[in-house]
Amino acid sequence: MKFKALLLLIVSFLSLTVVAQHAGGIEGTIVSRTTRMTIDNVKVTLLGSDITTVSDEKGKFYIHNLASGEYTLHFETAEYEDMDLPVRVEQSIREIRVVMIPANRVPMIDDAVFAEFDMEIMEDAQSLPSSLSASKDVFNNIASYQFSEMRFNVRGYDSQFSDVYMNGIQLNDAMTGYTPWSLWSGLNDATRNQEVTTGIEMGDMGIGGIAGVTNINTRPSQMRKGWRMSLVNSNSMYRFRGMLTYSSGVQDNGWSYAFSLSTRQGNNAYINGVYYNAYGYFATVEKQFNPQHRLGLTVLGAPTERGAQMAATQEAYDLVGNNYYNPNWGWQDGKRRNARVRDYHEPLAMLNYTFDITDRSQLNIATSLRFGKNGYSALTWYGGPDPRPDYYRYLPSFYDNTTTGAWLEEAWLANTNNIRHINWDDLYMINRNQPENLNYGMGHRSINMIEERHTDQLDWNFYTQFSHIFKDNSKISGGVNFRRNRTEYYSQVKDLLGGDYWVDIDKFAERDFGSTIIPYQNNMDYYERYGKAPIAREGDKYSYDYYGNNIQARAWAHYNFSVDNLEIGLGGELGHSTLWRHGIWRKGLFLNNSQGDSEKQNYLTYKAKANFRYTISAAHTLEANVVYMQDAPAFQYAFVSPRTRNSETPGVSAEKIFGVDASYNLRMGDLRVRLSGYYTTFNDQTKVISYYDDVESTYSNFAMSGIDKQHFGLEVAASIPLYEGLALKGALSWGQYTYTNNPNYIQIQDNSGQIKNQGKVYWKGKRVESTPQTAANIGLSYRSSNNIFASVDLNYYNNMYLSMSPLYRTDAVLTSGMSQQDILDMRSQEKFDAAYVLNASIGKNWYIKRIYTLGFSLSVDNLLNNQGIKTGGFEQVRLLKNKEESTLTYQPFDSKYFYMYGTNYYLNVYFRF
Amino acid sequence: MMHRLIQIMMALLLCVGFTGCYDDFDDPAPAKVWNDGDFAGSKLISIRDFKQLFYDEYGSGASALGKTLEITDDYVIKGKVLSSDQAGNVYKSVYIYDGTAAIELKLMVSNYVYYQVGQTLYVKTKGLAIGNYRFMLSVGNMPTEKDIEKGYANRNIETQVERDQHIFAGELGKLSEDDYFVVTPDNYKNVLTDDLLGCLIRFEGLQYKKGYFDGDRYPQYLETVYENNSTTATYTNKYYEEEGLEETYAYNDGNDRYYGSSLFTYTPDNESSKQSNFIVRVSGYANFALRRLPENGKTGNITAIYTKYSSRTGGYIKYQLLINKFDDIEFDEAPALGE
Repeated sequence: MKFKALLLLIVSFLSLTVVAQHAGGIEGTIVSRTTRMTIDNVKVTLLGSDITTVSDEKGKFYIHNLASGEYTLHFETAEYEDMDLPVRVEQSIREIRVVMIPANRVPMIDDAVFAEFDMEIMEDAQSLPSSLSASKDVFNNIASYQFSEMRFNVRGYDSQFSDVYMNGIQLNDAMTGYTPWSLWSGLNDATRNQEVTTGIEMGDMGIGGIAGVTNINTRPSQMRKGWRMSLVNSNSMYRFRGMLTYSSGVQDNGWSYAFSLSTRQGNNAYINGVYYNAYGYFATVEKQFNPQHRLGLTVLGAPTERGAQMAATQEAYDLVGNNYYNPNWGWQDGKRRNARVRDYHEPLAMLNYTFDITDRSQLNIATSLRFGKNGYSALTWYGGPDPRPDYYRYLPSFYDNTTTGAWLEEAWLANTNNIRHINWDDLYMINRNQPENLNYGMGHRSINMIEERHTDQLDWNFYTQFSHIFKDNSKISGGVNFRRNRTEYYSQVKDLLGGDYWVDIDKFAERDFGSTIIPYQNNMDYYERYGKAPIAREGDKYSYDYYGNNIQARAWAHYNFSVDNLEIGLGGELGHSTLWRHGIWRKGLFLNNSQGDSEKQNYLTYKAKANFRYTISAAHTLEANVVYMQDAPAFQYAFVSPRTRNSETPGVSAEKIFGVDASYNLRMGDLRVRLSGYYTTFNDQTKVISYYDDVESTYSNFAMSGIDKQHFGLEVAASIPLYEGLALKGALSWGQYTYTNNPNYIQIQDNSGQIKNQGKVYWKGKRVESTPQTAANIGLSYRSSNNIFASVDLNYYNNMYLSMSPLYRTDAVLTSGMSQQDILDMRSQEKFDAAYVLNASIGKNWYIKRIYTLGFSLSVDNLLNNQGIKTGGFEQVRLLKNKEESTLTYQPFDSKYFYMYGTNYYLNVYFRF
Repeated sequence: MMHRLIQIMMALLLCVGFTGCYDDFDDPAPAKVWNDGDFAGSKLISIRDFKQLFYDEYGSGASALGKTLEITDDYVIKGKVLSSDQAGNVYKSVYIYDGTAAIELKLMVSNYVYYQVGQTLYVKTKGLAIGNYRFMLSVGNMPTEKDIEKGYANRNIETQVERDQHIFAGELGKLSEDDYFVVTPDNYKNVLTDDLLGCLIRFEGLQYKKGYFDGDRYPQYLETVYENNSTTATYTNKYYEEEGLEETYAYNDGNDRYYGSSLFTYTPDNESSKQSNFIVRVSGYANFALRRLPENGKTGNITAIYTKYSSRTGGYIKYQLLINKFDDIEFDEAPALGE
């Protein structure tokens, strides 16, 4: 701690020589309003200058050598509200006492809010939040605490546009770009220290994209010393959470360490079959060798098992009688068994070295490794009926106006023989009854099983960053990032459900080319050696096995300087990304194109960014930002059918993004207002979906390229103190996110690589899915002097649209019997109804003997218990052949939806000392 | 006090760790195996007697085609499974035989996963219907008006709910010599009668013939085209030879899968005898659709379900053989074209 204080002193001292020879200055002590204890690690910024410092162990900070005048100090630290304080400095050191207020809502958003949503297309992509950052920005704060219930994406951006770093290393998934929150889910206390920028603003550790940069700082020396524990009881995401964290603070020998453990357990009150069995562990240690050198090691992981929810059609919801029906489970052994379980444990280890070369220059070097397993289970069947209970042929609507339909309706309404659920007994019975086939040895061939599809990553990052503050206080920083990712994609047998083995062949290829044996082999090397397909037992790999490879190298720099009251930041990044597939198995269908390395796809990536901030006065600032960037496509979209072969997606190219935004900020005491406008274009995006095509009657890959989108809108947020501890808060996000062209598509038969159809997807002018394009909040928050806090919020959502199946918007589904109106109907996009949600929370802290903090917070969401609010959904890709009339027409399958839970609560009790 | 609290917290965490078993399920008990005793309260009758119910009402001639007999009494029949749809040739059907006669059950797809060849099935027939489609009797659901318009006398039991009300799986078993018939060039005239329709028959010493029967040329396939997205198909008889194709059991090219018909006979010189000429009709979806037919004139054995087909009014009667799997065709494939 001595070193640090010394360092700080030097910093303040040196800034003196730069500014001028003045004797004035500020010294202060920062204390908590509630406990009156001093607060260390508070970042103190002299607004309108580059002068910053950090409060020491005793809560003290020093800023010397200031000319006489009015200044505004900005204070920020974890768990306290940001604060601005005007100070008048004269020819002497001004001593002040700063009282900071603990942040209103201590709990961070749990990524469990974004429950695993299951989509039918074969991507199995995890639906992830774009932002779980504990941002202090008045708009982002409301957006993440309130709008996350609606799976709101800030500015409509997908999660891959939010850059998430830990200790300087960007950890967005190398294959998909998605945010990596699941790696440390449940470790909220350990990941609490975050530096967050929003929108197009650059971060200290990188240029960032269009949706902000979050850097999670896990340095134990920066964590608040002591124990913290919390227990949660809830009925919304899980029943129970326990969390225990300890941080040592900096010890005299320069060591500091921290650890954290957590668990989340149980189901929720609305969706059956969904559960959490999740743990988290975290340990970090740091050694400050001398004032210049420090080294830190962080290890964390979150072994998690969670049951997933699948959306259902409105017909199924109506038959069951509520909107929370989950077709993913069935009864077995008197318990609910979910077929779709995500089970992962991907530890992350990270080493950070910092060299403070001089008080103005710093060098950071870091490396990280992510490894482990990530599996997602699913039912698989070789033959026989579709085991999913809500398969369209099992619903009454398929047998409209027949006795069968009436029978089914009755059975669904009464849940006869558990018709609503997976019939595990039946699946076991089928497997056990299969005749022995000596070709494969003793035992019974499983017809149904649970497979577990894996994406097991090996992700290595190396990062180095250098920053220097020039004598004119302009700052340059730059770095080099290198990343190597090798992800093994494979499926393995998880449970044979009473059978003894699985015959590893490609059932679609067998159906299409069944007369000859070679085309339906998944593993030709085995076949050539033994003359038959391999069998797989529990734990064995089957079906496909390949590596996705990615090498990324990036170099970036940004330069910040001020001209009078205008701060300017200019940044640029240049990089290169190489993607290739490496097939481990040779597939019968693609003998020469499935094993070994594919051709390497090379992409030039770059970013150019400019940030401007004009300070009119301490209270008013204007900001404007602009970015242009080009990025490589996600691996899964760069290859048309990575499970089977090395072929790249037709038309795949780097995607380009242009963005501008501008904001006005008002900050007067506790009054805060932000008003922003933004405009973004996305060009040349690529996407591949794989599905069973009912027009061509074959399993297909549908590759879209050249997708263009445009997002623009306004954000307004305000926090207005009313009286005593009462404040009015509000936020409005109004946007319009549209597809701006008709992208090209090619539909390829998965089995042969043959092009079945190609043309345009007619969705120009249609809306971007999965987020409300209008969201508004108004709320009251109250904090009493005896540490009671309460809030009530009313949220409004509108302009939310259903995710579209591109197939419905192509010429391939048109038949001569369709009228113009039929075509319009086929292509129309569903807009969800507007919705209101009322939430409230209450809590209290007790400070005992100035050492212990005991507190609770209880939030109750959706007080109006509205159970009809759609939070998302998608059109199925499949089409129904309508043969009733003399001419065949296609009819889309019913769409599937997710609904917001009714009234639910979250009670958190915590204790710290 | 603090340490105790921490201990409690740790203990809590650990406890939860050990009790959180979400993925631990006992295997289900073996499924119930139904037996005669389970149907003591019903009238268990032979399949022959059951079919006789229909013949008593409508007779067995052409006038009975397309007729439906709804079963209103609590009759139960049982029989061993003769057929398998695993190879994709038998479709939505299960044929059962009880030593007196055989009958087709009209069910869903992929019956082979539920019902193994040789397994005993019980059928509670009350509420179902016997239908006569081109001389073949089957058990299924009552037909709809549209079915009747199209000439179908009953319909498939398409859902598991309904199936579970009527079909009950008994013990597994194997087919023995008592469960199928053997026909040879010497005995076919005496053995083959319409009483054997739906039965499994091993035809020994059959000869494959490229040529004519009853005015039709074989082998052929039935091109089925839905022109301009019409829901009514246009059917055309086509000949592999003229289309420059290998002669195979059926036609299969991408999504176009057409039935194929080939001629097997005990009397190669007789182009009209219905008793000695058999059509092997194979679906384009069968996994052996593209296997080559034998060389003309070769002899071999075929095991198949014996079926009958006619025009809608009962003309052009022919006996067709429904193959369960390719192994049941004991013929050598002809050499490939060009070899």
